[in-house]
Amino acid sequence: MSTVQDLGRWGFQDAGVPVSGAMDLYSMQVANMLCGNPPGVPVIEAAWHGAQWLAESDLLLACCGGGASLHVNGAAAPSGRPIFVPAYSLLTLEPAPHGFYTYLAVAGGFSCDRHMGSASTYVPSLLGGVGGRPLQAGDLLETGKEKTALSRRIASSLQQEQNLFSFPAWGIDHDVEISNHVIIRATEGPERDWFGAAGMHAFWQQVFSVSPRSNRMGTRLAGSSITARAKGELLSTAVTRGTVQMTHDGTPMILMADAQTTGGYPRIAQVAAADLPKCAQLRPGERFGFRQISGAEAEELYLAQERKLGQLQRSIGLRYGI
Amino acid sequence: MAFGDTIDPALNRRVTELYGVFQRDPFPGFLEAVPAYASLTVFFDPMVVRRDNPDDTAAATVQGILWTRYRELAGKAMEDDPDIHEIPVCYDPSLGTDLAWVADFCGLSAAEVVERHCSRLYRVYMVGFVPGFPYMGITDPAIDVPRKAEPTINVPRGSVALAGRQTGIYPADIPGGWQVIGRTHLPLFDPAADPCTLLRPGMTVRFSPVSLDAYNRLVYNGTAHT
Repeated sequence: MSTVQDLGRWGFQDAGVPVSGAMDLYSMQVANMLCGNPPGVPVIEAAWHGAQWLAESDLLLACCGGGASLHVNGAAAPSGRPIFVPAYSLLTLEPAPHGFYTYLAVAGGFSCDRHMGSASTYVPSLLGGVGGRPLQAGDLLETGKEKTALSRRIASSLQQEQNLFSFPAWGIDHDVEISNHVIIRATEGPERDWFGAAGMHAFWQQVFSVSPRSNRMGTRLAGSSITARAKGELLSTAVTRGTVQMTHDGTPMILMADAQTTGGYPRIAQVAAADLPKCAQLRPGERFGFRQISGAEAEELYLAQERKLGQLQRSIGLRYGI
Repeated sequence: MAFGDTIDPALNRRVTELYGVFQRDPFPGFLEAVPAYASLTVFFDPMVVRRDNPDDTAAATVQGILWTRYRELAGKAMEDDPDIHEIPVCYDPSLGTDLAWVADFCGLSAAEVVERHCSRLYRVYMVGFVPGFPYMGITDPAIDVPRKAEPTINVPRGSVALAGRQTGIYPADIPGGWQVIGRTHLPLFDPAADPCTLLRPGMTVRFSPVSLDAYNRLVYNGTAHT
């Protein structure tokens, strides 16, 4: 499934409107930066099963994320760098063994429906994207008219022969973590007392696998069940991306981009914001564990990641004298 | 910030008052605040908060702001929204598909259930679950009914429903487990409108019964204008 996404729809969670946005916000922003865009312009988020697009005009684009690799007219294109493709190039995402979501960014971003300040697609309420739905064969997406000076410089440095795509020698190294045992860092959740020391210990020790019933609303996990000591329903409270709820059958769910804004299940943990991109790239069947960290540590990790993104943006600009 | 763990109008007033404070006077880095029954969740940008307060974690700084604002409120008299928002509801069995079941469960006639639902004012405690869904209470204990064991695959938009001591309205055709006793023609959520929801936390609501004919006229007039 492919949808148009951006940084999300902020400001309406008190109305029950989820933030949505890219599942892997880090890869999305890198893809934008690579083709000279501001980090938040709309991109196409494609699931690993594959996708195919036809460039109807010359395009400067970039692909970043996991789960698939870009081919232009059948030839493999490198990830982590801007790519200039001439008009009528066939762009194909071929499934790769690891990762889940790949982001296709084009210079100028994609033009599409906007609702409540965002182009992010939220299918249940038909918001954003193309008619608020996943992309279908035959959809025509226009790129934004306004391209930054940086995008124009990158494009002109790459424009060469008519029928070949081109890319620079430099690239950024951003690959999905390949591991037998991914670690996701998280803090204790507000309802940790419902599980007690034994329950929490079991949670941190457990090896979970990702259920195929996962989607943009949440990543469902399978593993031995962890039961709450206190039985009962929690009065509805706000939840957010990364909140780990313990559902009735004792298996956890990590709430993701399209999750409901409020919920009544006990919250056993909260995934560190910096590790949400890793969560987004988990493929069904993959095994992983959680590791407990403090709130202060989680905050530092997030700030470090934001600084890294800022540095990346500046370094790309410097390369082209912007 | 949590204030308790019950559905209590006084607790919820603290939540919506504090929520109102941040709507009117946000701190640098404030993104949004989400009220729930007895808690307020504040979203913020740690980069901005840290930049202004480098000596503490952003989380600690925001906690401090929450407490300060809360203490400032404590001394003030609480004011309710003076407006009563009226929701016309048709309780005809063709629309209130679970009304007969509710009546039977409660040992009342359908008319008595309707009367109990309409005869009091409700507070909107929070909006969540799906865009525009209002959680309202506290209903008459005589019509306290459990949720369905298996949710209905499709609850029609506008359905007015009961669960426990709460009453709500489904803003769209979605699956749901509350007991449906009627339907309103009013749209609960419109992404093009400002504000985008009909009902918001802290509002006072009353349901007023309308006949099936009147309901159909209201629906017709509504669609004729859109």
